[in-house]
Amino acid sequence: MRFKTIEDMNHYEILNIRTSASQQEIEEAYSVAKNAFIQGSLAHYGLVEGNQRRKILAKVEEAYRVLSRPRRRKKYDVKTLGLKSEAYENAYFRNSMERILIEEAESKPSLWERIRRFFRKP
Amino acid sequence: MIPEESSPILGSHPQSDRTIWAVGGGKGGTGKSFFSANLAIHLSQTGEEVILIDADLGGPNLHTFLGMKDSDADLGHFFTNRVSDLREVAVRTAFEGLTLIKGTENVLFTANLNYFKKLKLIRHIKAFEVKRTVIDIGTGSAYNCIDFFLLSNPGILVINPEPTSIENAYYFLKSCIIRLLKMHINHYRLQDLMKKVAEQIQDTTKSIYSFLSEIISQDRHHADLLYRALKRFRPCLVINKAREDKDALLGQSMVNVVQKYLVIDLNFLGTIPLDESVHISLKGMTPYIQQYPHSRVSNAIRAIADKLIKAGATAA
Repeated sequence: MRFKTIEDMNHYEILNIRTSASQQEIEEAYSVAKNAFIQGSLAHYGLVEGNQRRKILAKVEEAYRVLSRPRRRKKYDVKTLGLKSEAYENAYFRNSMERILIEEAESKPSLWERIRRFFRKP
Repeated sequence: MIPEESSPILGSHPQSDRTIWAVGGGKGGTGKSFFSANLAIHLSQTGEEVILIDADLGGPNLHTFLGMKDSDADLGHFFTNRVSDLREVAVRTAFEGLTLIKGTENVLFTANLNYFKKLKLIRHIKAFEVKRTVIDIGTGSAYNCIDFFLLSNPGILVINPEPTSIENAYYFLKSCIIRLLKMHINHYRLQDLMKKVAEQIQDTTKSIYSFLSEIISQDRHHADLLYRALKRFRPCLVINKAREDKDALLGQSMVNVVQKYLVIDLNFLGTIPLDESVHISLKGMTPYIQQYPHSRVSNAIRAIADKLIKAGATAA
């Protein structure tokens, strides 16, 4: 058990949930965490200063932004946390990993989506 | 961690099914005595043997909540050595299985209890062979209150959903944490860290989180040691006089804040609603849970008691 600074905490730790949390648990945890650090909340009264509060709230929003979308969450779990996906866990019976890589690869944006992104203002 | 025999204060029991619950919170008037009395009554009604101790040395009231104005023996007899054993001042109540150790109204200035008398009291409390001990530690963050709170497994904070109460509760928790850190630093002879703790005490704007972050940069091993000590301190939280549903959300949010900035795990047990019937039963000096057994307040106290018992069973 090691102490982690808030900067080192992953999104699950920021929202105080397990990595196996369901979508509903993520929604509830986000509601609790946002209520904890939003301006004027009693929950942090007398304990957290303005700058610290804004920083942690930004981290809460970022954690929710990633974990609330299943694809982003899956990518985060695999790339950042090194968690193996379910398909990989069950891959022992497969002859090759190629099909898994194809299944798990992010789909390329369509031509229309690429055009829209090109003309979207930065 | 500090072994049992090295700390006269920290809560530790040879049998895992015995619990000591100390009820505190810093601010006065939040309902600590009310909660302590009715929690003890409920536990006795479930068939358990309970000792209820009024350690609010500056203003004992538990006898009033139990409707027991006149009783001879109290803590004053113990502190003035008129009795040698704390059990000699335990008084049977009208509830089978529930015994009360009344706070003293006759011996003045017991709130300024000296260190040796406090240790004597703690030693006797630890020696009780009773399944449940409930201690009302009263108001404030003096050393006596903090040490009674640290004695328990776990301690229970009773607060109201108001900024003054929350602020005082955080102050109380910070005081407990600093006390705990000092005990561990003394035990492991980390004198170079003692200076940092002294600075922390003087500069209360610093959070426990920033204190540990500073230590990490210099000494990772000791920072982790202190972190593990803090993780064993797991107080519980009850929000009394709750007026709306979002007071429950407040409790859960406080858990999140405390986990990050005080680096401890707070266990939110639930809310007790504000109800005029509490005031009526107090004026009539009758035990609330007996007079209004099916009210929302009584149901809330029972639900909190169930969670406490389950939390203890899980920890064991």
